[in-house]
Order: sequence, then structure tokens, then C-alpha cells
Amino acid sequence: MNDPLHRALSDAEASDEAAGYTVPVALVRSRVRRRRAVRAGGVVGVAALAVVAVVVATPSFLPRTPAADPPIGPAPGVVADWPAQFDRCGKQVDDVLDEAGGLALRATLAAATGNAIAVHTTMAAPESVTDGWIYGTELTVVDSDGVVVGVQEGPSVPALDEIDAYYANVLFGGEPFPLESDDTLPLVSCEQYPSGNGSIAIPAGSYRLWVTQTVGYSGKDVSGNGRASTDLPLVVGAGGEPSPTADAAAAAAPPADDLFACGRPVDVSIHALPDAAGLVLAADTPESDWSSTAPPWSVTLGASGGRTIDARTDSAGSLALVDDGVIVGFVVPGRGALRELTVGPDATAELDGPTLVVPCGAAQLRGSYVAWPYVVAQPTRSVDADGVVSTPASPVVVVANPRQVTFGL
Amino acid sequence: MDDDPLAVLARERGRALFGYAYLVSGDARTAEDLVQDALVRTFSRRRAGFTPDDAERYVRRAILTCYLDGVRRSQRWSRVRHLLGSSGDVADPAVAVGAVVDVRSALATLAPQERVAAVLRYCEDLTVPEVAARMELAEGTVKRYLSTATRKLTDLLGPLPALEELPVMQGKARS
Repeated sequence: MNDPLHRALSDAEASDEAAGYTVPVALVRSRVRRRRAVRAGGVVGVAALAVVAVVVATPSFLPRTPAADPPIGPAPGVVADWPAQFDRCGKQVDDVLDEAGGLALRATLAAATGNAIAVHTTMAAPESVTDGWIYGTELTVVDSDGVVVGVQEGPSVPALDEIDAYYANVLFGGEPFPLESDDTLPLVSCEQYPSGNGSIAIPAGSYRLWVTQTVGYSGKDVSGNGRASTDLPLVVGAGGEPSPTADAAAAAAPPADDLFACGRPVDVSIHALPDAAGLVLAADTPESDWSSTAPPWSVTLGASGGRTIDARTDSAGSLALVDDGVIVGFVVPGRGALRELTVGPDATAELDGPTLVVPCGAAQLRGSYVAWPYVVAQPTRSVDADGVVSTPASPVVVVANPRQVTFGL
Repeated sequence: MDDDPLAVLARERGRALFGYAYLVSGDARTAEDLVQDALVRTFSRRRAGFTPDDAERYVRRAILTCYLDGVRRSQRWSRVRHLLGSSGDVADPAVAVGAVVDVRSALATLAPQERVAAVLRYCEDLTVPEVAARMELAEGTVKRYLSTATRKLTDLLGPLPALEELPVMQGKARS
């Protein structure tokens, strides 16, 4: 018998950490009271206003044919006088954001007045999905440790598995993907939660702003609800006013900006592709049919020189679009599901998924461009033809040969 | 002095509950959150004749549920987290092994589900079927977690109690 393991519970109870711990009874009582109130359905307050705001703020998604009244009462998960998004406060962002539906979200920020920030979003879906509707956009402010320090004021969006029940009496009219939206949302500090005593202003500093959007979608053989997130840098001024950083536009671009960045010349050539730790890329792109919506296309990862490589990647491929030697736009995926893959002499891996066309600046993409396909991947283990094993340390950008694509002629 | 079950439990068993959550989660701040969330879950339902002993059993169960729910949510998100933003998010077991080797640092080398299974099996002396019931998992899954956990813990702590019900795992263990 291993005594230390058997004693572990009593040792943990007697640890220094436990000795300094006291149950916050008053806080627990307060949370219990609120939870009981929600169970009883007796408290509507802010949450009910939030529900109304959701419906009012999204007129384009209201019923094609007015159905029964929208749901009344707190959104699922709402803790009485605190909208549900405050439940994210103090937690690691990785623990509180979820995703579903294989969707791709991109966002850009613009300054607004006071403690509000303007967010423009574009949501793309897999090819099998034809149209969709937006349930809502939520914001989460995260500090450098990944801890949630602020959220949007106002309505919350129900949890994915509660949406259908919550909107049981509401019909949403669909629009073709990609779905575009513009929201201006106030950001407030988590310091006020749950006591209600702290400041509502987010302290001045630099943060990441996570933009999360929840949508419904339908297609010929598929329908459901989905959610995707993306993050951008955010600066908060001394008065708690948020604004995008100067490099927010660059941050919204795909994550290979050492090689490809808006307005810059292409830094690679067919004869000088970047070292990708043995990974190689082929791409299957239609030459025409490109518009604000990308047609289906794919890339295939492989390995060179008889290597066998384990790698991770979380996205479909990207395209850097070049006009007259300068990058003028991108076709980019969202944050896809992380894939573990192995490529080698007898194995390749095809990557595909929804992608979005992102011009540099406001100009429309029209005409023919040189397109450089690429993928960001993290090789985790490489075995060369002689059986020598190595463990690459850094993510690599795997670039395929360029080709021509034509937009909207 | 308050004598309702919550006050009594907090006063007399607060540290024990914290210790349990600490052992399960391996992190003091997480343990504090787990205890608080578990107390809220437990006392939000009105129960007649609810003694502090009854409550402690409920709270311990809720601590486990809260922790496993959190782990599942975290895993779901980690699958879609951007790889460029995730460097360093996987603890290097060698670091923990190189630290002072006690039970908590040994447990810290385990994946979350492995750790919970090990705590329930070795520290609470539950049987494999009981562990499976607590974790809401199949017995085979629990045995797999325990097999991997046992191998890792044995390397750090020496031989563990024999587990007759554990299968011999062939080939590479999956976690």
C-alpha cells in the first residue's frame, strides 16, 4: 500500500493552502438566493429587458411570419439580476467559450462613444449550409493571463443546447452565408460582479477582445445552431473607453503576417519557399467563380524527402491575393477544429472548410490576382527516411506554388 | 453563531472540502471556486431534514461534477484554440517530475480525468464501478484512465495498491 497516496486527502486538508481558506458563506448565501429566485422564475429584471433587446436589435432576423410572442423571462443560465455573460468573469477564457457547427468568424473593430465598441462581423459556414440567422454577438475582454475581466453590457445569448427551447416560439428568417452584422456594444468591468460594488469601468490597459457569435443555419440536408469566436487586440483608455489598436487590422488578417501582410510585397518566390520543416502543400483552387463568397477549394499537406511528420493545424487553407506584386487581400478560414494529422510517403491530409474573402482596406476585389495558398501548422514529431526522430519546436507556414484566380468578372 | 447546515458545514468542514477540491483539481484557486460552486449547487435545492453530514456528501459529489464539467468544456475549447496562441498550454511533465515529488506534484502529472480517477480510487478507496458511477463514465474508460495513471504514479511514488480489476494494457496507452 502506498501510504502517501492513502493519506493524500488528510494531507491536503492540512495543507497551508487549506489552512488559509475560509468558505465565503455570505457570498454563497447570496448566490443561493439568486439561484433559487431564478428557479422559481420570480425575478425578471434586467434579464427580461435583455431578451426584449435581443429581439429588437435584430429586426432583420425577426419572423418572416410573426409567430407567437417571443419568450419572456430570464435567458437560460441568467442569474437573476446578472445577465449570464457575467458568469464568465474571473474564469479562463478557454474554459468559457465553446464552438459548434464548423463555422468561421472574422471581426473588425471601430471606436464608438463612451464605453462602447463597434464590431463588424462576418460569419462563414461549410458548403452544405445555405442560409442562416444571427442569435446574437457577445464580447469578452481578457487580460494577459487569459482571465476574463470584462463582458458586454446588455443581453446574453442562451447556451447552445438551450437555444431551441428558448426560441421555441420565434421563427427566424434566413439569409445567405456569409452573414454580416454590425453591433455597437458597451463593455463593462467584472469588478462589479457579483457584489455590485466594484467599478463598472474596465481598467486602462491592453487586452484581447473575444468576439463570439451564435447563429442558426440550414441547408438541404443539415440544420442546427452554431457558434464561433475570434479575438482581436483592444486598448482601454483611462476613462474605460475601449478602442481598437493600430494593428487591429493586421491582427484580423491571417496568422502568417511575417510572410504575407496587407499592402506589402510578397516575401516568397517559387524558388525560395519558406522552410516548413519538411511539410509541403498542394492546392486545388478553381480559377474563376470567386466573389465575396469563396467557392469550395482545398489544400493538401504532405511531407518531402521520405519523412513522416505528425502535425497539428486548426484551419483550412488561406490564400494571399497579390496584385502587381503587392498583397491586396486574403481568403481565410476561421478558427477551425484542431486536427492532429500524420503525413508521410504514403499519407497526405486534405484540409477544407468555410473561408472568407477579406480585402485589404475597403476596395472590392475584382479581376485576376496571383494567389499564394498557405497553411499554418505545428509539426510535433518528424521521422526522416533513416529513422532519425526530431521534434520541431515552432509553427511553420507551408506555402504552395502560386496560381491565378479571378474575382467577379 | 449560525447553526444552519451551510454555516455548520462551512465552519467545521470547509477546510476538508477545500482539501478535497485541491486534490482533485491540483490548483488552490480552482479549489476555492469549486467549493463555492458546489455549495451553491447543493444548497440551491431545498431539502427537508438536510444535516451537515448529508450536505457534505452532496457537496463532495458536486465538487467532482463541477470539476469534470469544467474539464470537458476546456477540452472542447482547446480543440479549437488557435495553435499560435496556445504555446505553453501543455504542462511539461518533466518540470513536475523535477520538482519536489510528493503526491500533489505526482498527481499534477496526470491528465484531469486520470487525476480524478486516481483520487477516487486510491485516496477515497472507491471500487472501479464506484469510480465509474461518480465520473459518469463506462468502467472500461475508468480502467483505461487508472491504468495510465497507475503507470505514471508508480514511476514517481513507487508501487501502488494492487488493482486486480485493472486490465493489462497492451501497446501504447491512450489518454
